[in-house]
Amino acid sequence: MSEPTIAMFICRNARAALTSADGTEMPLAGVQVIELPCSGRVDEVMVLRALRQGAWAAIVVACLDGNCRNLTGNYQARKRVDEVRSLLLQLGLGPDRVKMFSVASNQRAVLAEAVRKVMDEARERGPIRILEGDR
Amino acid sequence: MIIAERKDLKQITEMLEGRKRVLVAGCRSCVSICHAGGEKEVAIMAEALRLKAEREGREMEVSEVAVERQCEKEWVRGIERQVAAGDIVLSMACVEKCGGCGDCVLHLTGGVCPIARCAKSLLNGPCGGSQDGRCEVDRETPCGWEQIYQSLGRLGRLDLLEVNIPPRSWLPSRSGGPRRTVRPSVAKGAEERAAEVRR
Amino acid sequence: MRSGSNLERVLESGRFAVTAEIGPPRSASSEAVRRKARLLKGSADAFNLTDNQTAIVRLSSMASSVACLQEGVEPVMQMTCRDRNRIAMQADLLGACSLGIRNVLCISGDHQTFGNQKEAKNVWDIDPIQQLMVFRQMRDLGQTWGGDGLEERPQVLLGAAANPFADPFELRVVRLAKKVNAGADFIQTQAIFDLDRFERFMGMVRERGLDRRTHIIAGVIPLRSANAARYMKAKVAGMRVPDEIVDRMSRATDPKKEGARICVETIDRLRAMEGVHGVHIMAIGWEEIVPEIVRECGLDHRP
Ligand code: SF4
Ligand code: SF4
Repeated sequence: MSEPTIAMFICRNARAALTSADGTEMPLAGVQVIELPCSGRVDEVMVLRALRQGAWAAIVVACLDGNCRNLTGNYQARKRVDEVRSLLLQLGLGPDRVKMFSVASNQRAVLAEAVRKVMDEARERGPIRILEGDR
Repeated sequence: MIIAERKDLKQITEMLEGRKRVLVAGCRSCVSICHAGGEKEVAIMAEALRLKAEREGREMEVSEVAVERQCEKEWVRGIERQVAAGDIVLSMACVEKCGGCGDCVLHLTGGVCPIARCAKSLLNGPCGGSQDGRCEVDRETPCGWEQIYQSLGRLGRLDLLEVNIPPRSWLPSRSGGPRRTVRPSVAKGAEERAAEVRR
Repeated sequence: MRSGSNLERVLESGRFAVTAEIGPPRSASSEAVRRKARLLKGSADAFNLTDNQTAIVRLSSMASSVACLQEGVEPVMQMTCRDRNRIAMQADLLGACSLGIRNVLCISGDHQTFGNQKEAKNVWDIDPIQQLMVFRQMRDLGQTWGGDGLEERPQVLLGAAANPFADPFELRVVRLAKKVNAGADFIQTQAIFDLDRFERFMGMVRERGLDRRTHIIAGVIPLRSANAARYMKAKVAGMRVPDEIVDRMSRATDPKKEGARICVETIDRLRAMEGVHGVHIMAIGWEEIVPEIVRECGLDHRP
């Protein structure tokens, strides 16, 4: 089976977590990074489209609670992620194909670990199929 | 009062079964304000339908449109061509004569609401009092079920009248308490409110 | 046997059934019902007790039915969807069966604006077709609509109404089919004056084979005066009275006699129609004519 691809929607501020102190970028094979000015910019359409265009999973990366530079962007992102998951469930697709992570800009290891997990899971489950949502 | 809520997508996809060209039509007025059928919601719906169709390996062309006001003929005329090009229109707009029952059956009744337009809110009408297209209650009032019959006739779906509609749920109607906002993702949550106060 | 009722026995035996209507009084006493029951005993197989007909408050159809039982005649309890939600309906069905009532007619009921308490709030939680579905589930599966098991199932014959004279005509037989599918064991029709239209209706009924899946009991009303005929023609929604009937009534020197004669002639023609399994005589406020009509038709000597 081919290697998984996942879509990562990440806010400009959290993006720093992808780069280590010495300036090296985290290896991101198979990850399509979509940078947003703020995680609050993410919406249902974007995530659904990424899945339709072939991503095996999508993750939204935002700042930690209380740390959003725009105050509430990360909270808004969380609600939209919840909504997408509910839509996927209604469509008969697996809602856990979409996840959200909150990281501080220096939590590189945390983010790397999260990405690895999503990748592993996607590899295990393969491309999205209908009815995996179990209804 | 306008209340709008999107049906469960499962129900919607069932309604669209076998259709190849779907036009998702939103409305920029009331349903847009309550986040149920504006441009944004149309985009989400269209994207969700495409995703499902593609995953199922079905061919389905989904186009999107939002009309200024679907309840006015002048505005709707502007999308006539798009409507003609599709084989079904999924309207996300509200209905002028709607009883607010919360579990819409318009897809079974040719777009005419039996809750609001039938004096007895029958789901398996018309009753024995319907005569000359008028309701038994008053000869001035058109019989809602006669209109449903006419409309289904025009749509070539008189077969729908042969099917018994079982007792419905009134849970989402007024006895279900105040309505929640449709797209939870647009309602302000507690944490957002708290964050704003902190500022 | 679904109910063990007399009406069911007659219908199943293939004999031509006779039912008649008894209107309950505006009274806390059931004496008027008892009097009519005694008067009509032997003239019909079962008697319909109307349920706040035309939305006017009267002795309840359940109490009236029990009065009939006590007088030794079999009731058909009418139950409208106007006044009860599904919870009350199911409770009333159980209550009726516990009291010995074995026939129930499921109807939508006249709109409250026909009565003298127009400001009342109606119910119509479910419609008559759904009412049949609910009751059939209780009887055949021993379950309430909510799914709870019943210790004792209601033994009941389920009836419904049909009006071949309402519009759209093509839909009348469709709706009848829906009622049969929902569980109607017998059907009582609106009063028939326009025999030609009824004949056409029956043709469509037979075409769909519905006469073999349910028992159709054709409704008749004996007219008392030309005015009554005119009133029904002009004012009663879903009723058709041909001009020739109105003419006959206005020409008659003894309108009552003429009305009874028209009724007897109508019944004779109905009996000759394939698929009609009985007649339902609605002599509202003129119940005493029923034995005479039945005798004239040679339908007396009910078992
Ligand atoms: S069925 Fe009628 S009352 Fe119910 S939502 Fe649809 S239009 Fe409104
Ligand atoms: S006549 Fe038509 S609108 Fe009036 S109560 Fe009957 S079915 Fe409903």
